[in-house]
Amino acid sequence: MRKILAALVIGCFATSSAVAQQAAGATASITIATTLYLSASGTAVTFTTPTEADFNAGYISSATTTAIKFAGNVRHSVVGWTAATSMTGTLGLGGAVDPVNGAKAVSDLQWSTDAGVTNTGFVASTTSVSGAKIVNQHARGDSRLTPKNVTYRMLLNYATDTPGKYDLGFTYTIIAD
Amino acid sequence: MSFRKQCAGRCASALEFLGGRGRIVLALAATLVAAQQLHAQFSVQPVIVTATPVDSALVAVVTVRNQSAVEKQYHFSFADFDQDVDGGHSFHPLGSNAASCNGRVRVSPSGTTLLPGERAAIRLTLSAADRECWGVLLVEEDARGTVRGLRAGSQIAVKLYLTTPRSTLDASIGSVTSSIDTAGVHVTFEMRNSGSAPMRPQGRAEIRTPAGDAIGATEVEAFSILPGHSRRMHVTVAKQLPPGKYVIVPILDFGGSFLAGGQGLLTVP
Repeated sequence: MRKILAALVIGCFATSSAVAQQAAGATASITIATTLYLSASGTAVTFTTPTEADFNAGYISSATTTAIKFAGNVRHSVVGWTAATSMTGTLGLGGAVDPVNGAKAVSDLQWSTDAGVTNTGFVASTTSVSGAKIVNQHARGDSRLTPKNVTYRMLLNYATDTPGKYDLGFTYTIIAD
Repeated sequence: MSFRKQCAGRCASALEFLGGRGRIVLALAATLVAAQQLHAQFSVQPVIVTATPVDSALVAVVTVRNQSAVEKQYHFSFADFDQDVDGGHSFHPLGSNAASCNGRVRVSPSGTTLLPGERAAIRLTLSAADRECWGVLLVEEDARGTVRGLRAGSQIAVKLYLTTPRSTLDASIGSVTSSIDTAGVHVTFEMRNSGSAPMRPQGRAEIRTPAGDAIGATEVEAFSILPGHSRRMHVTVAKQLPPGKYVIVPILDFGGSFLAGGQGLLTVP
């Protein structure tokens, strides 16, 4: 009998406690969407005019660096890609002797995220483009304070790189995994 | 409109107006191209949209925000994409993939201009159909006005997965391999999506003793596997192990009625 009474008392306290919590309680909720952030500075990539020393070396390094800052609350990658099949050559000397190269390979443009130790050419394709893995499957998090610096170099060839101006459009895309 | 045609159209107009969009220039003649320090800075959410339109169309809203200090112009386009076994993405002209959402997604507007800090809604009208499809909304930032120069474009991709009420979820983990060094235990496993719906499995990889006791684990962040595709994943359990035999067990929740698991043996000499 004593036990039953004690149980009733405890039950009474429990009930009143629950009621009190219900009356004074508050709730908070937030719906957080998948989010990606991208910042790219120094996206104007330029090269000085190549000298014979550059031709002899087979390449010239870019005068600029692209700094890519990125963040996301999902696993993500940053890819560099181009839909072009070749660079656009203009402003050549002209004529049959020195025609501008209208098909300089896009792979002649190489990117590096380790200050030129490893250099990878962009991939040309007429139907699809595989993104160059500038940032590959990065864990969710904020990487804005540690930007990925991309340097470039352009391969040079006496035989094919006739005088002229060569352009290539490309894009940095951040994408969730 | 194909992906290539979209790009070609935009590039052509930008070329006339800006003097070259997203371009690298190599001046072989005696010309030094002046550098222009342009700065893209923006965010998009959500970046993964999953919907199951039934009977009638659904509208999904994606928000883009200009986080730079200057006015920016944005373009929105839709394309197909694919993902290889190592997670690499490739982009394809709209309509070229067998599971393309071509004809089922309408993007509105096709572009906008935002002041610093301003945001805009992109509406995706998603039509119902009896098959799954996937694609990617490309939100591209361009400088506006009379800026002339040579620069790379910047994009944030929004993955879109459309499923049906009859879509199935099924997956299995194949090979599980591992190795150990000073950084810990490196685990590699391959998971296959044998259902009809895209999935984003997540879970953990455990190190167990032969008796079944878990002595270490690490998170496997959510990753995507398209239907009929496999993904090879690499994770590291930061733990040193004394000599002996161990069992490596990845356990992943892919949204189905069961957890996908696999196991591999690790011998530490």
